Amino acid sequence: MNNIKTIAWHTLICWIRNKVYIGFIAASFLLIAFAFICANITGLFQERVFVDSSIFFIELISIITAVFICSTTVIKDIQSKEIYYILSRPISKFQFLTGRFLGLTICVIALHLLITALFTLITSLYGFELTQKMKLYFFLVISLKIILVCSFSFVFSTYSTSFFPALILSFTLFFIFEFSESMNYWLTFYSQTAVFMKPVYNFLFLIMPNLVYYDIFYMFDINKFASLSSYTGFLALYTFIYSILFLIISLISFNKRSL
Amino acid sequence: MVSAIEIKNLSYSYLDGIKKVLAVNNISLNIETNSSVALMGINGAGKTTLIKCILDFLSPQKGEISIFGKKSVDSTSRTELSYLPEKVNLTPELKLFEHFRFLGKLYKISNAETNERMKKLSALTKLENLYETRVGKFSKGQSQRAGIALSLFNEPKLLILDEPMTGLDPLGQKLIIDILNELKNKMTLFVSTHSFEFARKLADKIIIIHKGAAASELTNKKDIQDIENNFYKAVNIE
Repeated sequence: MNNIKTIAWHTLICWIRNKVYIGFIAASFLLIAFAFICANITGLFQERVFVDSSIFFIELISIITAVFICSTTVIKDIQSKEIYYILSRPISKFQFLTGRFLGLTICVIALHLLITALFTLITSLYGFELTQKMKLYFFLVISLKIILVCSFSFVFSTYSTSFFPALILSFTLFFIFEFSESMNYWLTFYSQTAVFMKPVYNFLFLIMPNLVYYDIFYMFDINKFASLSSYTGFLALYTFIYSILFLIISLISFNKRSL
Repeated sequence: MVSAIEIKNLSYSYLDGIKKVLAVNNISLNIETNSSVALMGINGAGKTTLIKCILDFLSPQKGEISIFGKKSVDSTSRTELSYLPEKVNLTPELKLFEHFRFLGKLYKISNAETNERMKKLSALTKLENLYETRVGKFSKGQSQRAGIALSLFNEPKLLILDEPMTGLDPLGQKLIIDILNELKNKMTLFVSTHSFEFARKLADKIIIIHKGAAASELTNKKDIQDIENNFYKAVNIE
């Protein structure tokens, strides 16, 4: 556990000082400022415009950061040969990967909380009211979604040999998971696919993570959950199970890799 | 006495397209504790691959490697060894003292002890004024010296060096030779090198690798002094 903590600390410090990460922070602040300007320009429904566009921007920048950082870190370690410096110490590959994953996830969640803090400050300064669902969404649901996105992006970091394919594959997987419900619906009801393929699609969409669960507003619109506590409990467990699964896949892929 | 490194029938191959390349071919070696061994061979002979197998960066298809009696796949086998690669790649975002702290935490050494070792090793490698500098701003020579200081941090019993003189200026080379001479007989040194002079000065034993196999082992002083001829004979070059 000590080694995992040390590697997580090492990862966190390295990324916090990285120019790319600082660039993401600057971009997120600019986007919140942009949302604020847009809200002021509209005149009417200022609160609605600001909150809705902030929801979009905060999630967008958090996901982009998660995919970018998590799908490139181990590749960067291998390409720069920094991995030799770390793995020649008494650290197992499991400890290295888990530490890296934790450090990266904390790093992205820290960025998310920083933007959310700025957003909350602006809403409180201007007296905008945030509902309980919105607070939960900003402070917990997006964080859980970040953990899941980090975990599947991390798989490609341990598998791919260069940045570009890892980024492309991670974003592709993100879009598949994000729109899995619509894709399943389209494939099983509207497409011309063979009948025997439909159960296959159903099974695939059943086992793959469905990011629709992280849309708190939609989940309550369709009355999927009775209360906020049952929803958050379900979501935490859902995220935990899939993240562990992706971490195991990362470990298998990394163990097979020649360094 | 337990051997520092014991390798039994080690083979490692990889795929180059559809062609299978045998990089290490059935090597068996025994490196005794507190000996200084030089590993020599032409480029592509398998020296670095062998070192990577010892450090568990590569998983050999056949054979066994033990480090002080522990299997190399066990991460604790690396507690008493250190590795200095050809090109030292430290984390550029961290300052030198943070690298020492990082290692202190990994080896569970107190902050006070870490600071003491840091001062001693920085003096040895002439880096006293660079504690607060990010390693990314170091010159190649400074990075190599920092690599040496950090590789000695855990007071290893086995130091593995992969072509440590590559790309260093004469001053940097002299510093490395002086440090290794100082360490000789206090710990096991396993050095991959292309320099006959370096091998002659340092080694009690020279292993010549050719086409992935151990082509020759030189142990007596006369053979080591005549390393050039023995090397060319082993790799079949007149």
